[in-house]
Amino acid sequence: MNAVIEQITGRYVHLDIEGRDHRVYFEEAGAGIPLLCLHTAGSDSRQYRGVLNDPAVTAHFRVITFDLPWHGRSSPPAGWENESYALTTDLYMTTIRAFIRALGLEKPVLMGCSIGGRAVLHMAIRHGHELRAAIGLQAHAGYDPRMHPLIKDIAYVDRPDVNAQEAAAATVSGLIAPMSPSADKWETLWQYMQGGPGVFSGDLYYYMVEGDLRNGLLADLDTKICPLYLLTGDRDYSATVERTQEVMRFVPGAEMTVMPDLGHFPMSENAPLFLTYLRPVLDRIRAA
Amino acid sequence: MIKDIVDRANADPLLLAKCRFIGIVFAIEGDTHRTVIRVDHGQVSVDPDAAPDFILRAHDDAWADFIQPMPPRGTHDILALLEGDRLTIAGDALALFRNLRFVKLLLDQARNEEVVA
Repeated sequence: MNAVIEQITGRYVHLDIEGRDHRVYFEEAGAGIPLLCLHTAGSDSRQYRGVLNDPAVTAHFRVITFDLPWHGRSSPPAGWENESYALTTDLYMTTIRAFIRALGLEKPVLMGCSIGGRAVLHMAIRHGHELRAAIGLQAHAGYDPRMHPLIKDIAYVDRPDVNAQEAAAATVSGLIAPMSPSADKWETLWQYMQGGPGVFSGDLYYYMVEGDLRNGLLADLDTKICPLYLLTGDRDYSATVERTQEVMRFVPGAEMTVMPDLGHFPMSENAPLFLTYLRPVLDRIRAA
Repeated sequence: MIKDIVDRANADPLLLAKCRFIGIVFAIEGDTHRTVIRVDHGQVSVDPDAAPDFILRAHDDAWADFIQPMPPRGTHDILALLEGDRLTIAGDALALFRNLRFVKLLLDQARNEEVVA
């Protein structure tokens, strides 16, 4: 047989989240230290296929990634048609911890990008002792985007008279580094075009409003309990290098890597380049 | 430079097909230039006398950065220029965001380079 078959396997797990059953899709590859990966707002776990398929990583790490409820192949909970989705810090942390418990992951390394990068910070603050280390990609405490009033007031990514598939992709397309490979750029955008109605904006509620960390809580993040590594692509005009540096000022002991020529989706827009920055961090975590 | 995008768009049947159901007029303004573009259900033209639904306004240096083959950080995308306080949107913002993907595709023609999105 000559077919190329990737080493990734996908399954479903049922999680009790806030008293409701959720059918959650996850993928994994490799063996060793659990490395749990969180996707960006309005997308899904496919963003991590480059990490899941990297033998240098999977030789030592069990790489696992799941679609948040409402995203990708994870269903919204029964009754979703009568509610509107809004991600909150409590809901996000509860979901991550339910997943870790369900799979019996022993002190995983937690890595997340964008909203996932914020979640990594929240998890390290609240439950750092449950993690071996935290890796934030394009992570920052929060800022006041010029775009936010438009997203909030005209709600253009969540209204019936706008094609939300096109609007979501067009909103994030400029966050990708212009030098990233075209095929990977467009695959990243395709995943944005497949999100359910209201889901992208529901995630942005956490990112831009409720989950803002410019509130002093970062001072509670103890890197002696949970080492923190921050990797930021320098072509991202929203989660900028400067905004990650603000996190560094509040978190003594955190380590930061600037990734030239990468944008807001380093793991999916240019995985080979991203992996050159990730592998040394994983080596250090393994050696610690 | 900006005017060229209309000629390039009209030479690209795939791009024109994407605006089959779009009817908007918008202006691209700098310090020393103003181009009003009409997108009319499969056709793109310059129409100086038309009243724009929305205006994308930036200084000439911002537009000069924007059209470079590999623009400097924060200048390759109109939303990046907006976040960097180098571009403003006047008029009907919903008309822009309803057609954001096509408007970006059109503006990328000014770059005469691989299209970003």
